[in-house]
Amino acid sequence: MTELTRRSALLGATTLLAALDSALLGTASAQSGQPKRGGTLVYAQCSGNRRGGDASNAKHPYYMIDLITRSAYNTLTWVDEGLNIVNELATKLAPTDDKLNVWEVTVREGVKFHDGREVTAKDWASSFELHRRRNFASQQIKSTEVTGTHSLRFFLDAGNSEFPFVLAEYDNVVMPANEDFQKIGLTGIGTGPFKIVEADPQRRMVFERNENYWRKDQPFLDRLEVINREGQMESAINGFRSRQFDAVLNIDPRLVRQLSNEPETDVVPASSGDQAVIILPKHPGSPFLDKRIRQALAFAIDREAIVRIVYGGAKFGWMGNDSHMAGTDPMFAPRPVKRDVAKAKALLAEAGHPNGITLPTLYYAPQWPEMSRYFQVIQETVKEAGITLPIEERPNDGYLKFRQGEADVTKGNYHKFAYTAVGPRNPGISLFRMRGANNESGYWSGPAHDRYMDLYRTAMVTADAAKRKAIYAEMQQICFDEAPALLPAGRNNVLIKRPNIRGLNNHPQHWSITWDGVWKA
Amino acid sequence: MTLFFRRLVRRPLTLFGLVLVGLHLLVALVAPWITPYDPLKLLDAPLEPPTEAYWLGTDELGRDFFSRLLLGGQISIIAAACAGLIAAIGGGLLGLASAYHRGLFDDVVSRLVEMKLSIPSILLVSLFVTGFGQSLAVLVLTMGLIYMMGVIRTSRAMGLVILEQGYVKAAQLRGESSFAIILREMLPNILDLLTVEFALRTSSALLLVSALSFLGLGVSPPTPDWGLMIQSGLQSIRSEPWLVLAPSLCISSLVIGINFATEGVAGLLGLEAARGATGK
Repeated sequence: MTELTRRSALLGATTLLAALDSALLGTASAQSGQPKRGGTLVYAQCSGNRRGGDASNAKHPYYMIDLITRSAYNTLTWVDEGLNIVNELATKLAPTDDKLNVWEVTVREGVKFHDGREVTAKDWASSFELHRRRNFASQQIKSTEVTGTHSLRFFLDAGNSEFPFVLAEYDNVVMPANEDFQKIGLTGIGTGPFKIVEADPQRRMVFERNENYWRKDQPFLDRLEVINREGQMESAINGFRSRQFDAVLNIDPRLVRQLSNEPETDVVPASSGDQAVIILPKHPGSPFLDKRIRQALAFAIDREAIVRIVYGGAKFGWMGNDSHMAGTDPMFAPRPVKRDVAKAKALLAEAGHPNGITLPTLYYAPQWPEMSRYFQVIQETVKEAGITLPIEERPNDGYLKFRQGEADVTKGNYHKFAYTAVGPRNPGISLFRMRGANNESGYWSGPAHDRYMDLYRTAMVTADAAKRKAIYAEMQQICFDEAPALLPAGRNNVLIKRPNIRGLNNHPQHWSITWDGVWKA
Repeated sequence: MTLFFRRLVRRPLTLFGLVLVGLHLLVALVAPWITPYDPLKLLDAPLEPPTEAYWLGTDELGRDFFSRLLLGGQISIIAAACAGLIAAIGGGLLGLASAYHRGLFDDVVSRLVEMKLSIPSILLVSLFVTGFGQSLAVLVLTMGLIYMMGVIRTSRAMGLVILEQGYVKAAQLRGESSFAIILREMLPNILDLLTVEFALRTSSALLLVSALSFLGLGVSPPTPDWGLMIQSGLQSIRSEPWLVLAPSLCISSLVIGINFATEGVAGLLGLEAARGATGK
């Protein structure tokens, strides 16, 4: 038997005190909210991303599995949780004159890529060679000019009063310069808080802490893992319950009531989130060429029922106004008229369907877990106006190709009567999405469309926010009158996490969550 | 016939199975007239607990769950029975043809059957549904085709035995065509086997339809269907467990009923050996 000597007793007591001290200090740190270094955070992502890559490009920011490129990359600006613009790697950003078509940017000095090389304006210019070709919001950039080691100019094809928001788009990250723009970004080297160490295309990504991160002392976590669970929310939540995951992003808002009562579960809602776009294709022979049928559908949908039944009320859902604007945006104009079944019936009768109409099949994918409920409510509520609306769910995988096809009218390939999702952005980007050339508008055209685009162009060169608000209100009124597409209701994003995960804020733009300040208590 | 029924009465499990199947078929048949509410109508708040107005509460969209449960078996039963019928008739004829012709035809059919049996049914149906679209017709035809393979094997085995019978030889000597011999001389002699096969395949197809609906590949919403109901109820299994338990009970009671009934009837028809050969 081991003898208990004075020496061993003292050693034991010291060890015990040290352990107690560490435990108490640790608790104090956790209680005081002092961030702590270390640990691995594993989260599951439930929202579908139709751009998931393959083995050749899975580390590229355009093809990352959950769109949360900000774990490995940075942009010049960032949209915060209140949808306000803040600088990220830009330190100064301003137009050169009141035409608003040339913008000068000073970029942060001392920022290093994951490979240790310092970022210069050349890298930004090179990265935007790719972005302006591939990102829809960046197509307005005609060229860039490097004006100094850490400064550059953007030349736009027309003025854009909200250009800083374009620079915050998740695609528009900085990557090491490459003369061949097609090779930019394939290495996965960025400036973000974490480095990509493993990429299993469309399934899993693993990141490790970037020791050279430009935000001092951040990130706090040593390791970050993301597991793709799109269309498999049940499995993600069971993984959370069994402690496989520390957090699950983008769950069905209907589950909030149930999950709030579960132990060790924090429910974190965002102030807004994605909304559903119902694309009304206007090819020859389509019933949606007739404005009255589009309007009838808009009047027949019970938006309040969607918010109440699908989202469990106004805390987790909101009514749309058939434009791409988010309900929480200060420039959002609510639909001036409520649901009107009699008006819908009258419009159908006027369009030659006094006994109702059977529309083509409306396709959707479970990009968000609640989509099946969403479209069942629409289907049931439009029945009252005599509209028969067949619906069909398609798998997430291959959905984009399925709904768009080749979209070549001359070959008889049309975009389908289908759903897509759209996230909340600034009015400039949001309202631009209803342009005729974009499939989300169903290739809308005509005098009302032309007026809409004229107003858009005017807003883009109007620096005064109050004046812009009036223009945007008129554009939303056109969407209401014309119903080029339907956007009946949207969600507030919801995530769940363990209580020991601190600093994780949810975001209306599910792609804009940042991991820099997240830590484990 | 009287002897058959007398022997049937002595088999309580078979009777129990037949009663269960009969009840399910009756409910499926009269459901549209006995449901208290329109199963598609959004009536009340979602996930209401059982009350006097809604015996099993409301579902995730506020529809009457009891009405949906009554109608939930209709599509599955029709789809499974049609698939069972296609499998039994198609498999029976192909198996007999294979036994009759032998040679290359028999080799090709037998290898195709073996190839199919090496692929899980659910995977094959998923591929077909994804490729040809999510419709009841695709589902029924695919399931029929899949279950046909097992039937081909058993009917071929029976066909080889029947082929040696005198009446087949006589028909050949009369110069009848092979099609006529298969149809008139051989098929009637395996009808009892095909009846059992039909029941067994229907029971398997029923489970498969429910599993596919559960996976989102079978019946589309908002059609009331037990598999779909289990899938959507799963989200609230902790707070509203009856939304999963009730349709699960319906599926299992129907499958158990078919299996008990089939086993008993097969025994009565003296088909134990044949039933064993189906690989049940």
